[in-house]
Amino acid sequence: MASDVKREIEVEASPEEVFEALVTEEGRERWLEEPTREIHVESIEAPPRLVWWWAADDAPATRVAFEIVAVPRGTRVTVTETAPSFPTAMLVAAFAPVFA
Amino acid sequence: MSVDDRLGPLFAALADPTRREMVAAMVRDGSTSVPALSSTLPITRQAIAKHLTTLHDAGLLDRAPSAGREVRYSLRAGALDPALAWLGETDRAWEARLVRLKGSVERGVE
Repeated sequence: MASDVKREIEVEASPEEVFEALVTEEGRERWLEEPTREIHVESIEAPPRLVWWWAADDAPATRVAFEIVAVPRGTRVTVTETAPSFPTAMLVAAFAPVFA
Repeated sequence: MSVDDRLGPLFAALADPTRREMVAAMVRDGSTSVPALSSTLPITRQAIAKHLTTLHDAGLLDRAPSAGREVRYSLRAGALDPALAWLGETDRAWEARLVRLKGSVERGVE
């Protein structure tokens, strides 16, 4: 089992256009639908990478990393959200005998 | 209590390497106690008791008195469910968000 959540999608647009939709508030408003979450952008290396931290209500902040890569038909976006400050894989392994 | 309410204490409790070692001891031995842990961990009994309280307060442990008045601690079945729920919810959320991102960007390009 993974310690984080990973999803990807291909978009028929350039990496720059995808990046714009991720990095600007106006861009995010058009698709993210998370008005209550405050986003703190940690690192912007322009395409291909963008990292932000966010939190919902009182939940622990989590790290969201995007990889934005050009592919023949446009851009592949890979997002990885890391579980809040704990190594899930180790824990699930540790608890495996309990669930067995 | 919602999943989110439980996530903070759960993840915080498990972020500490000493406490993870205690959890590993309970996985290995079924249950443990302050005296049992003090023979393997290089910290005081008071520190061990405090760590066990943190794990217990996070909902990870059951405790029961045993023969000789010693309190035994064991892992509570299902204690990890909030963490597993977080993974499932987050995965479904990103699946939907990426579809909206694609739609939004492609509409803008047209």
